[in-house]
Amino acid sequence: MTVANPLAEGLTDTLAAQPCTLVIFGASGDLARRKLLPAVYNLVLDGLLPAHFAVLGFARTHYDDSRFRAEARAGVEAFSRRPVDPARWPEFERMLHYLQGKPDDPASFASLKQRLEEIEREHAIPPNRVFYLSVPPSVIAEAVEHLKAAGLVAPPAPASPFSRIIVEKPIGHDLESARRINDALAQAFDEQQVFRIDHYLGKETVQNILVMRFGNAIFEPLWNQKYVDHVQITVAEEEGVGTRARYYEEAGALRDMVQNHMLQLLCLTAMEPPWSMDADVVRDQRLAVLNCLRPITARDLDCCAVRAQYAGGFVRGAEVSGYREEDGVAPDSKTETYVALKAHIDNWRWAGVPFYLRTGRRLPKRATEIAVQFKDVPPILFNIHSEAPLDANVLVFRIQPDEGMSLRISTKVPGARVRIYPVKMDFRYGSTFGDQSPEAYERLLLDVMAGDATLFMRRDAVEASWRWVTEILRAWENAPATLADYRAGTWGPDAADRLIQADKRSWRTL
Amino acid sequence: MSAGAESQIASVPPKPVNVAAIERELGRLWDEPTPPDAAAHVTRACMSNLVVLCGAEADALALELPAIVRQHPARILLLATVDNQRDDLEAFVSAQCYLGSGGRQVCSEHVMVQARAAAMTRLPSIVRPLLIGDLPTTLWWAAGGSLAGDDLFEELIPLANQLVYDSAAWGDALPRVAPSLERAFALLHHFVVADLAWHRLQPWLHLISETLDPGALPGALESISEISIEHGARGLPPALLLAGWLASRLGWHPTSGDTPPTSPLTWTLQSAHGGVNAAVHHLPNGEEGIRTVTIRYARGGRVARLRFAHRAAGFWQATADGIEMPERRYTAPVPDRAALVAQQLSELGRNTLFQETLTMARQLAGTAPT
Repeated sequence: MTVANPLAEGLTDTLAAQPCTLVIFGASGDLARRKLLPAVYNLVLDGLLPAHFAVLGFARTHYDDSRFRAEARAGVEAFSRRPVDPARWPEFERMLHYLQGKPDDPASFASLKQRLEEIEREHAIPPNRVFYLSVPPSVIAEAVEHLKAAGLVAPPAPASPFSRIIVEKPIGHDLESARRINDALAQAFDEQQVFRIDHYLGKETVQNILVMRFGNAIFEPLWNQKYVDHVQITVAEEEGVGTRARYYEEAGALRDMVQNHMLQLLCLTAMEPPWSMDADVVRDQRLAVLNCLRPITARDLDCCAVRAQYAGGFVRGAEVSGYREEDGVAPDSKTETYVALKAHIDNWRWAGVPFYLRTGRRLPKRATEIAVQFKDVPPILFNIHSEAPLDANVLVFRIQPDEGMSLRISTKVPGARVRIYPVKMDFRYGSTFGDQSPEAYERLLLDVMAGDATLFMRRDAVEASWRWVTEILRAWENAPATLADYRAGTWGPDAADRLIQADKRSWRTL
Repeated sequence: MSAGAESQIASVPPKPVNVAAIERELGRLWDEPTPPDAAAHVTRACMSNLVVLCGAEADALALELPAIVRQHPARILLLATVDNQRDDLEAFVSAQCYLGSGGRQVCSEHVMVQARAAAMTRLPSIVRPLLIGDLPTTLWWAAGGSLAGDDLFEELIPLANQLVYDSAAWGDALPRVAPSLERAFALLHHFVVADLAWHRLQPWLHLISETLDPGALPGALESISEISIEHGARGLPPALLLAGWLASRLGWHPTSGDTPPTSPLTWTLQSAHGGVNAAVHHLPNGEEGIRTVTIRYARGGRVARLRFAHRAAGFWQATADGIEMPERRYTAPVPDRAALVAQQLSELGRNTLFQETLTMARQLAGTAPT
């Protein structure tokens, strides 16, 4: 409830989750078991959830409460950042309930409403509801329609119970389908009730980008086309497609990584300072970056977009098969597992500064980072030897693994001669702050329960990113020959090297 | 959360050193990497200076320090007053290490200086040069006694940005508690002040807040007529804080009080809606800390009594008489002292809620005009 409670003011420095029931659609699935239930469990251990809270799992699978609790325990044991505490588990388990139902069956939603009301009575929870749609995109519209028809969606109003909905990516597979999903959501929910999740935004290091930029005086004055030479954003995966082949065949690297995670990283790196941390102010600034992205059209493919698919090779000494040999992948699949792009943000701050994006599977190691490379110092004094130019300063945000930041600077090697050597100043979350950071899903679930949408995607941003990505997809559709291949265990195709070398630059070694 | 013992891989045991050579000996710790895992990279990690003031319990307290630096790497200067040593001053340096990310050994420096009473005045001169510049400094008053009137404390506090103490250690006699509350209040304006007892109160505050939420019990907050707090040993300061929190949040002002040296302490408070009677009862036997909180309110001709109780470690419960309300339970982690200190070390901002609570608790303790 949102009636002012003076006793709640200032009580917690984290977000104050409001009493509610979390309804997980697709509760017997992988995401619930690996991420959502462990996240809820850790929030309980940290005392961050209200006393009046429950989870209602909803899925086609024939579970009852006790089976769901057993599955939850197995998920927590396998995937939680903290082990099961036998003393705390019974209390947690008491919050977990399950209802078998189908997201396309109106009768299931009548049962859902009835079960929700029972749970709310049992746990003394006001009718605040968070619906987490961990279901395929094709089911979203129907599920939302049934939620509304069953009277489970309350319009937003002060001092009234709330209904919020969380939608997982992918939100569509192109601009048109994204619009259809967003239209369906808008039929039942006001935009302020919709939380489109991109778990990258829940990562500590990602949130730290804004703190580094706007919480320190030394970076922001340099953060523009006068001083920045270029930016490289890399999301490298060591794994192949594994058990996600069916999804991946439809998606590919551009949809799976670039449209959401990588463009969000780009937005945080490039956005203007928001004038407040209000959710919509921050999201307006992220959107402004997307709106300034120069389209990559068919005639830009050669200079600005590379796609490729991994062939067989070796990763860490082990032989691995090519993408087309993976289970569930068509032998003639045209799906890209690697993308390299050169993006331009056509605004005052970033005019002329290329943002190089690359992502791929079966690369030599798992690593996600943003590297901001500054311009060279003038070719005088210490940088006078053109055959051995000084290394440029590079500020790197390591998103995963080994979260942290580093800054490459030039320094004098001790001795009588003037010899310059690049050294790395390194900050690691793990060794500086100790302890384990919360998982992204913990932070994001808490945000939803507290009603803070800052770290979630707004409709206009989702559609703006799809608009940019769809242009590339269309260009590729008409240019099938552009699909290159690369050996598993390498850093991608030669074409990607050529893309960046054409600008007299090179990909960073990670 | 306390450190995982499994990741504690090595430490350099305390090495006696000359007081004048502490800094040099600390430097040597890094010149000679700790041998148990020489292959691992050694990273010296330090986010703060932590100056710990304690008495004879230094050895026991030293055992808590690894858990603190595991969560918040810091250079620790442990100052202990002892009477059973040969020299006026004895110093030891050591390093605490654990295995951090990427297989690195992350190590923090510890300095312990033990002083006989006669040498206490020399301690600040040892501390000053050992503080690492550009890092926040926290003074942890672990001596347990009153904050008021301690010369060493007064000389060290200007070196710090933050003061951490545990008011639960002040005992349960108001004449002893009140001056310390007064001193803490005076320091609020100059330092970040943190009370570990306040952190331990948080589950109570959450449960009370949620139970009395206007959405759950409309009108209850405005109709409170009586609060009663029962506490065991080490419970008076937390009880005053809890009463102070309720009063400051709900706009109550004490108009009279009866605060004899012994229990119960009683006050009359004035709210915008009427008078509120408050009482704090000391139960001499049994569990430490706050045991129960009872809140009575009358609304629509019905009198309701809400009872909040600590049931077991990490488990609090709310029940009601006179109204329909299902039993409510609240569970929360129960961090130990080291975890609370480590958590507080990262807090460099002032906690307005605590400041307002402390201000009211001081009024209730009778040391300020009402």
